[in-house]
Amino acid sequence: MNARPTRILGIDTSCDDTGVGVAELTPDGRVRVLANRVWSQTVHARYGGVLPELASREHVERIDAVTGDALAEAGLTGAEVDVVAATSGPGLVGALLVGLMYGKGLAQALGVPFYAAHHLEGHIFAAASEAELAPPYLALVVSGGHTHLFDVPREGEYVLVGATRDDAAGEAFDKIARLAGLGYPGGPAISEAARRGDPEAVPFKEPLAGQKGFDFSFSGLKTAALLAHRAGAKPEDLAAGFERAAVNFLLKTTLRAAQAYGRDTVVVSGGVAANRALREAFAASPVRAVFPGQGLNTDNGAMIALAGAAALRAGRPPSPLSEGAVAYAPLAGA
Amino acid sequence: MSVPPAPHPVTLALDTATPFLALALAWPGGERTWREEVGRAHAERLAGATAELFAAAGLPFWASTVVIGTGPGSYTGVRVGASYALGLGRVWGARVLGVPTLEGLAGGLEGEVAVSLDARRENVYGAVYEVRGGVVRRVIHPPHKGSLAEFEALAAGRPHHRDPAPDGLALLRAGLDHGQEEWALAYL
Repeated sequence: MNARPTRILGIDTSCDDTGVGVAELTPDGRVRVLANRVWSQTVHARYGGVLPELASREHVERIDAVTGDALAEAGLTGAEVDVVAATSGPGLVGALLVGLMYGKGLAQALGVPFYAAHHLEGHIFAAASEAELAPPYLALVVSGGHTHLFDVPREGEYVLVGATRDDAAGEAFDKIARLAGLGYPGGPAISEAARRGDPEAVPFKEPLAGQKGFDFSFSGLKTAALLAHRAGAKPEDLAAGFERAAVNFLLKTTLRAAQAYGRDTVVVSGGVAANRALREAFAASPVRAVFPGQGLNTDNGAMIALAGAAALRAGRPPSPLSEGAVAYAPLAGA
Repeated sequence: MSVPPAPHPVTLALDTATPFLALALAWPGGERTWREEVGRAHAERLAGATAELFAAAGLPFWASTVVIGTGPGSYTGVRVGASYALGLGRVWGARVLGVPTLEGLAGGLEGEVAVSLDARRENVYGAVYEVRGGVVRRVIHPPHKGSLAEFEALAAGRPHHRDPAPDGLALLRAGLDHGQEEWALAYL
């Protein structure tokens, strides 16, 4: 075994962020993030959503410079990279292909192993930056594109416990922020406005109240927000009421699942995991909640490097260089 | 872990803009070309085919220059080649030069010729070149997308080759002759 740590370069270009990060795996199995550089494409803000062709174009233009910055931040030359990992799905295929092919080129030219990584596994392993992640645990991935609750009984094994029936949680934040004229992206905008609002002013009913399962739904909250907005509700009151309802719903459903599956650790990750109210609610709950470190909630390359580290540690074989990109890739048997 | 640079210049050319995967390798004392119709499977085939090309040439996996066809082509196809070349280039310390894919299409031709790719709905993306010795020496009409009738008028009776297969060596030679360090990708 190597006496020095293994350096893993991770790439994520699944949506509108060009992310490259570096993590190291020590011979005794500990991980550490050495660099995390993200080029956030601002071009989409004016459209209020991500345009796939523009995203792919920007990835090609930025990927090499972002990689150079990440290597510099890690204090490494390209030749000191031992493993390359890149997201192969799920995501926008044209966008994914940029990072995937760039990563294959790096790995092949270096003569090092290549791992095609799963985007959601990356989000889950982002939390490994903060705490030793040892199964079993539950993982709640909440972002603009995903709202999934997984049970992780063993390393590399995922059981889908619940998922959204309509919008992703982050999507609901974006839509309600836009409705209330609070700006894009909606997460930080809602969070900021909510501090000034009265959460009691606008009534929001708990979605899927009384369900036996662990699914999520945000369309009811969205409709309630729309009706309240039309009736003249103040934007900050809308934000405060929606945020509280969404946070309570995510927390309550996850805690029920934790009890049902007998898990006392919950990983909460994805862009919505940056929300302060959500963090505070989970921190005050009876489970041990683990969140990704700063800069690792939204899409990034370091989380893919951490997923690569986990694959190495679990002894998974590298991916063939014939690996393609996939838009739809369930992590668990869905 | 990186391969020590070879003492001689080695050039790799690749084009993923058309349904073909076109590759070429040139080094002092030899050259080798390779072409396969892959449809839309460029991402799946490119790395393997490139490795096979170096192995067949008996060269270590290293080049000092990478030439890419910058399109016009399908959105994903063109980006697959460009992204892969940038990854190789970073590790190899190689420059990545861009050449319009249409120059690679004109490779096997000689004299003043028109070449075009189908851009659907009776449109073509074409250029008119003067080709000497397998390299575009003069651009008579640069790559442009328009109606077939419009392009035929530009071609002005010169032989018009529609959707020929790309020639990796022609792309490689054009790249060494006048490839651009600052390139932009073009789409059909």
